[in-house]
Amino acid sequence: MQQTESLTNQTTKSEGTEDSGKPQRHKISKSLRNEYIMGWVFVTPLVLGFLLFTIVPFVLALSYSFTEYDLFHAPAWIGFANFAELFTDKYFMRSILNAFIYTLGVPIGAAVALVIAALLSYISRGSLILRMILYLPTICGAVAITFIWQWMYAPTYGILYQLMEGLGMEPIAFLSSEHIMLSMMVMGFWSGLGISVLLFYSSLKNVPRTLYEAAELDGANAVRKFWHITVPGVSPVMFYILITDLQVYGIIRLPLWICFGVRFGFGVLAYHYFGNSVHCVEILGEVRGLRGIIWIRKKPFRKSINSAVSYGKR
Amino acid sequence: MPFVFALSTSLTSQYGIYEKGYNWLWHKLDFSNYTRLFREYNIVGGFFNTILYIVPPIVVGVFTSAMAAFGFARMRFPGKSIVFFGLLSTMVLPGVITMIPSYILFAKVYHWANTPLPIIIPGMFGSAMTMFFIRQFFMTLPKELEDAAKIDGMGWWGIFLRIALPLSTPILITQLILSFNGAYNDYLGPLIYVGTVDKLKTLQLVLATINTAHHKSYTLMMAGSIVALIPTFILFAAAQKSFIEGIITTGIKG
Repeated sequence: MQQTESLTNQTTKSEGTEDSGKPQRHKISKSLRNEYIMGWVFVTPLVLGFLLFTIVPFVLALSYSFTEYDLFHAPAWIGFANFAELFTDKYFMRSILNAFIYTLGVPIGAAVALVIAALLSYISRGSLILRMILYLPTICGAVAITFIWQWMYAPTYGILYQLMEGLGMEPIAFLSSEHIMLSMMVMGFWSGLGISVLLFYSSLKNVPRTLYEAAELDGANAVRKFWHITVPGVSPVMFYILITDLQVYGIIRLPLWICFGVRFGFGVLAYHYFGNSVHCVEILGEVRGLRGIIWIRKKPFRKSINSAVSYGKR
Repeated sequence: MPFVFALSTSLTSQYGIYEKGYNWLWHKLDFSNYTRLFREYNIVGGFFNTILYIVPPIVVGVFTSAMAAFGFARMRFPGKSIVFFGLLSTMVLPGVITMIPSYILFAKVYHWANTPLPIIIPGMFGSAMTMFFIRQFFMTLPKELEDAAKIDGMGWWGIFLRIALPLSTPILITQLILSFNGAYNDYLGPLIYVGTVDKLKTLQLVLATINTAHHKSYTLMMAGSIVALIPTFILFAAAQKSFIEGIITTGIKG
């Protein structure tokens, strides 16, 4: 946060220096005044939409989290009761734990994406088609992803089950409660791989060739080159991917969790818990409290997000 | 790989998949799932609903975002950095937080429940994410262009419409496709606002009914997935070059 702020301060300062030479600040020139007005004209539509559709609902969310509200009667103030109820709910605590376990898959996914991107950059022909294929899941809708993986994981007749049987292995019940976390991670990894590979691939193209040539002269092998040149070269992008993935995981996957979760009566992620509640507005007050909690949990991430953003600014 | 299986499954007769020792990749083609899909489910209507709901907000929204991006990138005005960081900080807010309050707002205050308006209207105001990426590109445009245009007597609108926008075509296309992709595949938004009205349903909602309507037919589900994928696939393949270019310039170089 501070890093970003200092960056903007610098930029605004450097922009402002042209005018600050004038001693009387109140006598701003006509063109500058015009720029001020036009600047606001340009940003007003977005800012207006932001106020109406983000800030207002958010303030509402915060205030409802302290009330009992069923949509039909007026909200009644109950203080922190919603929060207390959530924290004593074993499913909710379990779902938070599961969310953390689930995010453990993020660094693994990023590492695999980096290796794939590095391999792709060695291939001169056909890498475009491979990238397209890898990107396919990203353009696929949540509903379709869920359908396909339900079929992949389905017991007895499912594709993976039959494949394992055909290979003479003991088939796994992918959707049983002991394996579902891993199954979900694989699905999330599969659907998010394309964009990470694309980002890594393009950043690999920006790593200077000369570094590799110098390393070759010093007798470095492929693994050492990868570890000492490629990895540091893409580390800013790596950071960006890790942060956005951590952030995005819970949000984009939400429909997936709902589809799977409701079907298999499986209470996992906080989001899933929330999703179930959407269908029954009666426990809306409880949902409000949950929203407050998601917000609290997300707060530590804000700092890193902002430093990722400031990286983007450079 | 899952796509190959999906495609293969969608071309199998409904009971074929339950046969033991079934060959997944090579078998007799059977299009009955596709004919059933179009006959029993309102796929075409869902598709047109989707297009109707998402094209106006995407086109207007990307334009609005580009306007704001231009303001933030190229112009000076009081309060700029405060507003900008206010917008950025909301990017980390998970959408679920504002989902139910938004619903209350739309349903109780604006009386928009069971209409597609809550899907269409907010999108027209643009998004902070889109704005941020376009701004990243606008920052890289040389100031000389702007100065030259000013000397030629161009106003801010002229600079925006005739210089900044044409120069950023790949980025705009990228953002259009990303927005299209997100909106086209959105399930929760339409579910909340039009999910109970059959003739307003979007393609994704129609698809989801395949799973719940009667006992599961995997072959039908796969056929539906493939059909739903076709529009985005065509769009992505057609704009593939400028899309990747756009990702590279905005995502990495910054």
